[in-house]
Amino acid sequence: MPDVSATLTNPPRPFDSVLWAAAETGRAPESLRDLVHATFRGERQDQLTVATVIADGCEPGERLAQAGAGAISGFGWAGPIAVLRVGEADSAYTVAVWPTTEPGVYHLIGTVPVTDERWRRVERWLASSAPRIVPFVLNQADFEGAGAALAEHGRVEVSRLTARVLGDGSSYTRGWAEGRRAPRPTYTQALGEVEEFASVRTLTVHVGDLLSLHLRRQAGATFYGGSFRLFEDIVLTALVGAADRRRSLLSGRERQAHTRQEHAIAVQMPTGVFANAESISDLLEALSEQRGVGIAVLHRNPYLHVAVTDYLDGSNFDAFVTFDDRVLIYPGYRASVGALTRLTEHLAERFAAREVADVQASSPPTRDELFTTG
Amino acid sequence: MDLAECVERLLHGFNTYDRAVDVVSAFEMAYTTSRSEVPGTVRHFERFPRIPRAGDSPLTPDFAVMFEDGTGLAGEIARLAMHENSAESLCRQIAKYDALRQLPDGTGLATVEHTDVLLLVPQSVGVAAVKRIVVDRFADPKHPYKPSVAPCVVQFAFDEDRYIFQRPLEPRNGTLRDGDRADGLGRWFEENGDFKARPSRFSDIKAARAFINDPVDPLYLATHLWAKTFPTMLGDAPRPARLEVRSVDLAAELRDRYGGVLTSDVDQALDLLKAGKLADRTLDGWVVAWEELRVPGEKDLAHALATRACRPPSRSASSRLEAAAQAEAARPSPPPSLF
Repeated sequence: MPDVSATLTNPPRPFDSVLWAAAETGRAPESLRDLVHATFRGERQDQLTVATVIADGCEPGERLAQAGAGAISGFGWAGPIAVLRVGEADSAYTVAVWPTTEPGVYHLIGTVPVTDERWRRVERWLASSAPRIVPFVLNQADFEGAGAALAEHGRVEVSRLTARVLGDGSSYTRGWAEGRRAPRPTYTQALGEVEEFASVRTLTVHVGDLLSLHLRRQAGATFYGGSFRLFEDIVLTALVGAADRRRSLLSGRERQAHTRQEHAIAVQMPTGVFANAESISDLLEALSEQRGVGIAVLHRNPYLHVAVTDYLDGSNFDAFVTFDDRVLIYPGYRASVGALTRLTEHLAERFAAREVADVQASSPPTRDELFTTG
Repeated sequence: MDLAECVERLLHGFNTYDRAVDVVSAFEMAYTTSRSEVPGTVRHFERFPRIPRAGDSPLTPDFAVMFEDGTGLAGEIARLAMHENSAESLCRQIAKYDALRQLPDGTGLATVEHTDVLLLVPQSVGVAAVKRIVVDRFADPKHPYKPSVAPCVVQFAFDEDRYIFQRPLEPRNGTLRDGDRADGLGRWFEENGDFKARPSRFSDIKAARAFINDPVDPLYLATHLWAKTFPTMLGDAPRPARLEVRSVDLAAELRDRYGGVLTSDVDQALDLLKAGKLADRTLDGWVVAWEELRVPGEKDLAHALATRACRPPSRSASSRLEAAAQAEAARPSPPPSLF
């Protein structure tokens, strides 16, 4: 990954300048691809950070601008793209809120690196805009699917991997130099190397000489160089597809009076995550540590039933842990897409979930099961 | 009473009620959704039975089952205390259930040939319940407790990760009469001695129903109101949010959505919130100051509400709302927008 400190004193990138100029005139660029082609020179600082978010009942550009009002020096519309100018003069940079092909799904796009304090600031605005705008965590299958799709265009090698160790939640980082003695691992090999003990969070990936990028489990990616068309067609399309599926999964889930909820939402974790009392304490801590979220424990030991309230928009849920690898969520009579996305995203991020999925609400036992396992 | 004792007492009622919700939910699952032949024998499972009696208060067992073959069952969860009055009172209550010849069928009341009584007790008093109810009273020719058949006493416990329901094998303990039905809990207990229910089997039922037919524990209902009902009503209103409610309306809404809640239950829950300076009575109802509660060192809302009720803060709900309204009025206009 590029040295982020080097960018701190750099003047605005051409991408930012052109986009801001477009916002000042109100005209949209031809396309994101055209803008990248026109402004990226192949320099080391040329990178495009993308975070894919789900918006619920708000205009996300305006909402982010409100959240960052103290730091934002300008706001404008380049056609349908909201452009936020942050900071002044030589230190200014832009963050664009780019609509996608799917309603309610947006890319936050900038040229500052994702590890840079300037992007962290955007993430804080995002956090304070919840549950109206929320990031989400890709399902394991979506993450693997992106690698498989890239592999159709060349050998996909991984140069750096970060992960969370399942046992203790600690960080794990592994890097592979460009092979003199051995080739770098493929996408599948890199994932396989840690699957027994850790959950992959990010991968720095190279598709032959075609494309270099950083792919993140918290839905997002950074384009480092190569074919932007490939990045857009494969990676951004995958992110939009995953976001749209998540938004659909979590939409319209409010409980309806006199109607049985035949399905629930499962956040599926690695086996054994909630196998002991300490992990249940960790879960309760995680549920209540979010801004504006409260819990009421109805039953704790040995199974967990907790009422979760999102005080920011009144959404509420029943959450159960009846297996050691799953949180089952039954939405209440108010349950917004944003609040559900925030809840599931937080659990997925904190406990390295494999997926967020729609499941049968219960698993009624057979007669034999009632006599044996229960 | 010191703070810890006060909080503990409130939480004990909360936990006892929640366990009863689990037990009723487990039987609702067994009778209505289990993948056995039992649901096919059930015409109607009523979680909130209310069976009127001429000139007397209605009977309200914890649940009632109307079978397709025209027989019925009344289930009752009992907490048998040591003193004799407890057993006497319970016998009088369940004798009335034995005499029931009408039960809910989903549209009204329907005639039943007989009503079995299923008496559910915690395992800690299971053997004592059989002795005190069945042996010492039903089987004693001199005791006035003489239902048509002995009640079926079943004890329950939570073992590892599931509820276990066991029928103590005392020969005089009653049985559930399955008759010619394809399957039934009577045979389950006879053949197997017990059955088990993991919470995963009935979590959907518990989430949907939330309450049982007993008076709702005040802390349990206050927690439900605070965590679910009030946020559903208020959405993203600025907090503390002022909410004016009438308990009769709240009870009607809770009955419509979950079943079983009475106006008196809501009043008791709101009284508990009032004790915690979160609600005040008005001339025709209640005013609630709803907001996110944060008690230092305590994440659980039920604990926080219990703690506030036992050690109230100085400011009332109304004064907090007034202060919030004044602060809002005094707030300067927002600066001109960037756009």
